[in-house]
Amino acid sequence: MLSYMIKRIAMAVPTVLIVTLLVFGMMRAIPGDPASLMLGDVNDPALLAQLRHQFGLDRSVPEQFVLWVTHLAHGDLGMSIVRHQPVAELIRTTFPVTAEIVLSATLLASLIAIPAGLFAAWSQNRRADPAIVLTSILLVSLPSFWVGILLMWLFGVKLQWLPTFGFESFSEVGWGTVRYLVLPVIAVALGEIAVLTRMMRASSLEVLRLEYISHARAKGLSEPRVLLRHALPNAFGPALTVVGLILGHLLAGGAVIETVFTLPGMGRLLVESIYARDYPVVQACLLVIALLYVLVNLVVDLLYPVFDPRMKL
Amino acid sequence: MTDRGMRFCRCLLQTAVLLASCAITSFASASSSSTDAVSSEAAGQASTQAATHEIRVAEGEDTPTSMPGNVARNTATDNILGNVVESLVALRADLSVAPMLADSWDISPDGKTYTFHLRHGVLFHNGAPVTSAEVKWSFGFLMKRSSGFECRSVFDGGRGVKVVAVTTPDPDTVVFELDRPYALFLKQMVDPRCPLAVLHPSSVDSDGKWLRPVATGPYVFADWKRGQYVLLKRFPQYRPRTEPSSGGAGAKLAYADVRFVVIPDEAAQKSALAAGQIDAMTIDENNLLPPDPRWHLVEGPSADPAVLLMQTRDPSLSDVRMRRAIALALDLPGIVNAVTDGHGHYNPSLIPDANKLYSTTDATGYTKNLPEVKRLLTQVGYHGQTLKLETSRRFEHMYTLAVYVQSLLTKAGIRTELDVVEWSKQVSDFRSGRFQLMSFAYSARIDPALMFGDVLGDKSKTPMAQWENPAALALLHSLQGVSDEMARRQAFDRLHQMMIADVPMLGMYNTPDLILISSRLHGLTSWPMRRMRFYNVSKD
Amino acid sequence: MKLRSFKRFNLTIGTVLVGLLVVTALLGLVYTPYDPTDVDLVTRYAAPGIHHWLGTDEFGRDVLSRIMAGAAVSLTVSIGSVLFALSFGTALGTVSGYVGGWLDRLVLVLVDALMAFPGLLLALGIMTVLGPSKWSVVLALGLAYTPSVTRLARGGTLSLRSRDFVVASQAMGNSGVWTLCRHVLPNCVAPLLIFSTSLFGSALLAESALSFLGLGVPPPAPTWGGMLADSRNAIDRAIWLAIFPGMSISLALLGINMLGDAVRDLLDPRMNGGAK
Repeated sequence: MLSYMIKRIAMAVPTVLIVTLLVFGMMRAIPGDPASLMLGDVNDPALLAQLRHQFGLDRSVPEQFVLWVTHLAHGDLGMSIVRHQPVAELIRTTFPVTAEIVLSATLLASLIAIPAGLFAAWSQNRRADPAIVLTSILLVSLPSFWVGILLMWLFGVKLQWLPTFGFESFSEVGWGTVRYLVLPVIAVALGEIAVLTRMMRASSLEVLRLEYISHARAKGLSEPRVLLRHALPNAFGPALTVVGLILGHLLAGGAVIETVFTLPGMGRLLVESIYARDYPVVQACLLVIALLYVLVNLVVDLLYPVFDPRMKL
Repeated sequence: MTDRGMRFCRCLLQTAVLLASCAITSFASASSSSTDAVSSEAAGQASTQAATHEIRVAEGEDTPTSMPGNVARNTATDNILGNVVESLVALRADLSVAPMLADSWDISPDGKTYTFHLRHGVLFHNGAPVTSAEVKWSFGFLMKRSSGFECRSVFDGGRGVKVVAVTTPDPDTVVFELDRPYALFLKQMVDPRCPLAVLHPSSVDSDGKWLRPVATGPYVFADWKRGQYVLLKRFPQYRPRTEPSSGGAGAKLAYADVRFVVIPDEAAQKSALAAGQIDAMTIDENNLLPPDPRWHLVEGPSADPAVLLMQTRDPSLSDVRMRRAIALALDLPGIVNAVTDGHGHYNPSLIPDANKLYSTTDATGYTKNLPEVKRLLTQVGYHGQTLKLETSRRFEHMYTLAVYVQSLLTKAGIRTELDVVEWSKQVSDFRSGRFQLMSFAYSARIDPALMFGDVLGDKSKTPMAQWENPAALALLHSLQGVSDEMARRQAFDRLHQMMIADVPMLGMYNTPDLILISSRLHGLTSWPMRRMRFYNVSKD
Repeated sequence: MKLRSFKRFNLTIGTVLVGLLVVTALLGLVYTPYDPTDVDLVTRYAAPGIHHWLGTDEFGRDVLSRIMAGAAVSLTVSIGSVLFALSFGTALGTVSGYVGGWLDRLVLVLVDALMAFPGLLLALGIMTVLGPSKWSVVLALGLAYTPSVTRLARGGTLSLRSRDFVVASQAMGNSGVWTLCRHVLPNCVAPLLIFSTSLFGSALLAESALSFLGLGVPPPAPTWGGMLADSRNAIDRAIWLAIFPGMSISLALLGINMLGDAVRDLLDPRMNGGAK
């Protein structure tokens, strides 16, 4: 087990390296650079040259990469070209917002979907199963940003229960921060509930027909006990994979939701920085995201055998 | 296994919940130290969603800097700082020059020396009086390379004129000496993108690094929470001028505090306005809220020309007859009407129709004439090659124009394809001339001479130039020292006629300035420079 | 009996919806009431009526024609990307899980790297290299989904690798490939099938999100996702611009999912659960 963990952590290094190299190269390969973007339609060659020098763009790409890595080794993530702020501070303030939304939405989705999937599988002969399946399919067909706009109009404009923009963190207003999180979390969770439910239902179906379940029933155990103690842990495995996948997806893909709800999160920061060619910010964000992915996948891989001992590491 | 698994599962769940809540709390408390100034009070103010007496304005982006004219600036910077800083002069609504921090000025007969007589009794935001020393210091600071002033080359001989010396014979007089007569000197001082603001030295720290603008305007730059809002507070010791207000000039009265709130999504801005949580926002013609007593539209023309560029050096477009065919194939007034939803009108000239110098000659453009198009196409030998029309979705009206032009050109027999690219790529292609057709909008220049100057040129030296015509360029250069309005107007008329004949590009319209405001706001007007001014604006 | 009627319900409705989808797509390729890219300077934002059954959009283009033409494009994009991810990912995942060792490690590293790469940058990079087109979108989405499919396939393979019938097959001297195809793959299929039906939905919605961010199938070609993204600004003025593409997406997803479920239930009687 330990050796496996060490092996996986060692494998993380090349992964992160590949990602950062790819991002570095790709950002400079796509047309446009921050200096000319800043100038727009202004014709000032001297200013352009000054800016390019200031941003280090007049050196070769490998040179820029080495420079960046050297700074990184000293813990310096650089300065945002567009926002004039240290990148580390930008990430430190935006990441928690994204994390709060992602974690809350996934938690909410899991809390609803896992029991729902299990229940749907168990009640396959009754009316609940088709109802749950239909609901989850319907939920899947609504784009989250569309749902977001509708929710915002309903609760923000018509009913005026919730703010339509802005964000205040926990430390500023305590539990008042929930006001800003409710709508985006719901918008995100809806889609995830659908996927998780169906996954859970499928794997529960598989487990429920296994022999040891009927064995447990024959032993005289009550039905809830059979479900919770015997079925759930074994069906949980594949759902765990999907949870890991969803978490990973959301961490980088939150941009759309964060734009619609004007939340100062990392997804929006990343997208805006890509469009503005703010190289230091994009590189640093990608580094953080890559590390997170590796961590999440590692945890999920380690948990797999716990639920399925047949799988040999 | 099940027992072990069950216990493990339970432990896992408990740990996960604990970890998550710990993480959230610790991250959240770490993020509290990101505010710039007075944190808790500002947070308290921000959390009051009920209508307060402050005016709330939506901006699509946060300003990256609080220094006027810094190269990192964007429109939010101009909007915000236009209420905070002032220069020696100011622009009226018709874009003519008016006094501001200087009551009057004398220009020497040779046109090279400008003597400004400063107004008495004006105070900076920190209470210090405005004297010629600070004017000289401001200019010196902005001209330093390290300050990052975007228009440095306008005053150091790179782009405009070279200011040879700034002297201060007494506390009320400042003298600028130029290296040659330059009719646009006063106007350049008050370009909304990079004004020559008069600042107090306490705007920078002991190392010369920028801190915050300590200036003379009716509003003080009070609080800036990055990515969220900028708060401007009324400056109680502001002494307004006595002339009637017009554009950025005249009397400027501050009735309420102003908070510029960052809302990047226009649909979210609309929701906020409809919910009464903000009071003003700029809006697109095609995106208006239905009429309602709670809000209304303030509109006016701007000085930003929306154009269709044509790469005259491209083999498919190098023949003027081909470009003329394109011009005649389109119902230009109809397209402009559709693109602007009736809020703008066709302006084929590079001179904004709001400008005093605009004349009837400038209104003459092209009229749709399909038989002539056919004739021209046969003459040129056009046999169905596809032209690429480049645009991006960054500015909706640019995109809309391109969609219409592409479809209508193709219907008229000139095959065109849309090439929708990212804004960054479009800027890059614009600057290098790598396009065939492009839907583009220039940012406003304060004088038509500057606009013509950026459009005319030699493409082998300046790929950003659009129109190569040595005679036109010579005519433009001859205007440099000329300040007589009649002479300038005649010259611009002549330039416009030459441009119509050469067809290097198609002038379309001046993008309308549309501001959607809550009916509780009074006194907000539009002006061609598009920068929202919140002086003389009150809220119920 | 309840069970059988539910299965039949799934099958019927699913077939009807999918059939409708395919017919619309095919029809859209040859005939639409108006040219979907034809602008009209005068009849903009027209409500559904006699001349334009589903109304017109901000450019005066007929919504019905765009929905029909958009069916083909949206379908191509989603099916294409899912097929890409499914084939590429399953191959990678099963081989990697079965063989193990350094190959497995290499694949994991590559797949992790790909997954950490944000979709936006991937789409942007591909569009730059290949030029913006619907095939760039297919490639971008396909690549974005490959890691998840790979991991799922790999996970399934790992659980099966030590199962009796697999070990028996190997003991009998069958080649790895044979064992893989005959014994491992069929048992992996079920979760992969479910996943790919939800992937199909994601692809349709991802195309919409990419259009929202400015990177979808390039205009003026209509796609349902693009129409939905564009409609956002007009919900107070012309809500039909959002309803029709949104409904089309929902119905398409509903049909595919139901049909997928029904087919899987038919092919795999063991999944019926419950009564023995």
